[in-house]
Amino acid sequence: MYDTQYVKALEKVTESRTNARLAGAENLLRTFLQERIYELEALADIPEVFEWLTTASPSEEPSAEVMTQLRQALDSPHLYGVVVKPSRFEVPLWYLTQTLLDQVALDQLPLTPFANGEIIGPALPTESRPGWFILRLSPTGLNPTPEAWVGLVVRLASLTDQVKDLSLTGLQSPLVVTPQDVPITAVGNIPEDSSSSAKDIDSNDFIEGWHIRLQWLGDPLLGPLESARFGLIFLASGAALAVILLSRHLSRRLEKQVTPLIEGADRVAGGDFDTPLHTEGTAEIGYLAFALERMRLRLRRLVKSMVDVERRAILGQFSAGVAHEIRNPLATIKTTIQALSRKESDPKRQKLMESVDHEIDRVNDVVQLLLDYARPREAKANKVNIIDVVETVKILADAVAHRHGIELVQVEHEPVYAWADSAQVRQIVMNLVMNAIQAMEGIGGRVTIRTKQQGLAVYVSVSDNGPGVSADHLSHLTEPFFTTKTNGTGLGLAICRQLAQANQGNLRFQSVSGEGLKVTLKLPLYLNNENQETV
Amino acid sequence: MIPISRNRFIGILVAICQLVLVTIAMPAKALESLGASEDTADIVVGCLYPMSGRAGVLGRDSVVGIRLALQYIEQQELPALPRLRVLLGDTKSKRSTAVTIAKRFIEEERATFLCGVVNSSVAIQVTEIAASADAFFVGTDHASSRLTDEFFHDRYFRVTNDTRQSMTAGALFIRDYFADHLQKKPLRISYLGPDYEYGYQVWADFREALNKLGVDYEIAGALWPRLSEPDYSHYINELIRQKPDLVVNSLWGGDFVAFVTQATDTRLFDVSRFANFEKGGDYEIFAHLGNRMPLGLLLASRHHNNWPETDFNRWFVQEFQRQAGYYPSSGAQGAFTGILAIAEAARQAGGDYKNLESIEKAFEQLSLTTPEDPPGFQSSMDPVTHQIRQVMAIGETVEDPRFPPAKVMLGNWRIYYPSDYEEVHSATQ
Repeated sequence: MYDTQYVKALEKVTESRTNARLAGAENLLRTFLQERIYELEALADIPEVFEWLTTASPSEEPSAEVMTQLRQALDSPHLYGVVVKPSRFEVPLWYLTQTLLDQVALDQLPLTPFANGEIIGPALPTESRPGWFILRLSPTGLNPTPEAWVGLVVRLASLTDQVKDLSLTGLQSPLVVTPQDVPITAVGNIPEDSSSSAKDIDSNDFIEGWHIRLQWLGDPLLGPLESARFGLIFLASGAALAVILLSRHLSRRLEKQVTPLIEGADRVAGGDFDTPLHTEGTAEIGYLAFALERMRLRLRRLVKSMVDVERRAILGQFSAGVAHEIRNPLATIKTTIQALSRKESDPKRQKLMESVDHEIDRVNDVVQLLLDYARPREAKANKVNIIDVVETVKILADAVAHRHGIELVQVEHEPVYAWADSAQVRQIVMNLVMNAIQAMEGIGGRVTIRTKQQGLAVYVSVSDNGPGVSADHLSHLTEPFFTTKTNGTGLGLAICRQLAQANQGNLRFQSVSGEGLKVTLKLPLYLNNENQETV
Repeated sequence: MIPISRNRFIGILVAICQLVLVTIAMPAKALESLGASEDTADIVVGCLYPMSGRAGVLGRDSVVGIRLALQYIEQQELPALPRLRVLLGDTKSKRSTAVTIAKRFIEEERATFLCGVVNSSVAIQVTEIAASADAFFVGTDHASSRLTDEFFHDRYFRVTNDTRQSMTAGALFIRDYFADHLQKKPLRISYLGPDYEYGYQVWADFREALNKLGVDYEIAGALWPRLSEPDYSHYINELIRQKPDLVVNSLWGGDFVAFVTQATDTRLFDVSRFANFEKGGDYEIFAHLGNRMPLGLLLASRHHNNWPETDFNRWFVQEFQRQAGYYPSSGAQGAFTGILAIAEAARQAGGDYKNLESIEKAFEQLSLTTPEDPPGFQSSMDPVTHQIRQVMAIGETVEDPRFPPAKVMLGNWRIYYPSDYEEVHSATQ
């Protein structure tokens, strides 16, 4: 709509401007002819010329004075020549380059009155010569047929030149249309394509039979402009449609990426920290997905840690209560049993009392384990020779192993030193070896202890070729009170892990069900550096 | 008081103005003359050239050419050489002024020879004066072939090539230069020439030569700007619109400079080849346009400063440059040859300078060496047409800084001898 209104307004302005320019050009054309009339009047009024025109006998040559006057007229850049017809002459005399008379039949040229003279012609331009017309005047009057007259042969291009300012290159070409209905260009030739179109603009006659035509050349220049205009409208519509489609596509894509994230976030909010979030996504959505996934993992660690801390706190309280409530009566019972045992003579009863005493010690051990787990002793790190620790454990455990038909093997290794609490390390290794032996009670087998240094860590691995642990149980091995043994407390490995962590290390469990279990203790390497951080 | 009409008053006013103008143009006692004094002169030659306006440079150079010719004749020390008195008149390129001056030369100054004239329309008027007074008229710079044809008289001789010769050479050049194009399709030609006798004749002679040579061509249009046209833009736009393969142009002097200057800012020289076989290759054009002169235009002239490379031409060009301070335009060599021809014809007539018949006969048999003659060739007068027979050299504009301020001169020459273009016309007669 805007475009249509704009075009209409433009056409209206253009039309009014064109009309004004046409009126100006018509005036220029009339003025040009009027100036030639003045020149003609001046020539005809020269006494010698006037006298010769009216009195010369047939074939009488003009006098030198007359010739001089005629030659003077020829100096005008707008004139080709002069034609004179004295009253008693049959035919006019031409003072004109003969070439200009090629293909001209004077009696067939149109006659147009103008001011107090007449226009004969134009003689239209041909391939070999330009066009021209005669502006004639009779000192004795033109009606009905002039007896004597003098005419100026006027350059047609000088007349048509008056309309050249109407030219709009590539858009409009001004033409002067002659009485023969032949258009002439501003430079005085007949255009190659003189066909008229509906868009041509014709002026009123500036003299009878002569008018200006503005020939529409629009297509070469305006055609592309029109195409460009419609092209722009089409482009704008296309762009709008493309934006809508693009928005829709982006919205769908966003929805496809964001919806899994929302669902994931909802799952996390509902307490499911284990299901991974959908982390596929482009650019910002991808970053957001990764951030959310990191958040999920941290939350899981945090929650787990908080649960662990809480569990440990509760266990600590419980252990302290148990220790207090159980150890004291047990101490009384133990003292009492020992006292009674010393006075008992019956060996059977004494055996029973010893058995009670032994069980009291076992209960005490369990309580001690509980206390150790709930209130771990702070690690005091020192340079620890791991080979020594392993050898000590081997010596201690060899007898037990032998008893159960198990071979305990220490793979030799050059000395390696860890930065840890040696007692706690020994406790861990002992616990791991004993666990391995217990795992193969009654079936025999082999327990292998390996040590190695890699990077800035020292590794001690204890592996057996027993039944191993299922994948389900593997992740729960270090949880307190988790055990696969019928008489286990489920605190051994929990304490080992606790001790390992207290020494800046960790425990790693690898097992294939039916092929044994391998537990690896990792400890920081002793770096022979005095400033080594104390654990 | 006698009442007079308005028209009559204007007529009287115009007549008074014309009288004043003629008086200014022709001061009674102020004619410039060269050579021998009035008392010692054997022959009086009245030369007519435009000395002002766009064509003024041609007239001024012609005067230097005349002066050089007088010196050259004096140096020859040949027996029976006449003492020449050369009168100079400024035609202002106007027919009426030229006729008035010509009459005065003959009637008051007892001139038996008229020479010069650049504009062919003016030359037609002057030749009629010469014919009626039985005086010689030696054409040195106008070229319309009608002077040696329709307006021929016994005492008219032209010492430079005319339009028929130059345009026949041009047609030969086109047949050779566009041979590949012509094998495929007709050559589309637009013509733009000055709107007067000369322009029409160039076009007629060119088409006649093309027809006689059987060149396959078609006319895209013919345009006729008036002499001293100030604005060629509409003509240039029309030429671009016509899309010809070749634009043939016959503007000369300042008009050609103005046209080329205006056309260089348009696409004309890119969309069509451009040729001017008449005076487009005149040195004054190159000097005027300097490095704005486009390359690749196909041009010719009636004399070239860089061709032929003979001692005579080098002497003429360098001596002109020494005396005038700049290099000559072609008009200078025409005037030089004209004066040389008059002296030589009079000498060969036997020393009786009053015997105009014998001088006329000698003129008809005249052969002489001019600066524009290549080695082994001598200009000669055609006894029938009284038109000199000379070589035509057509070239392409190329960079050449040897003749400053011009940066461009003609090169890649193609040379056509009189026998070449006479053959074209004689073969079909």
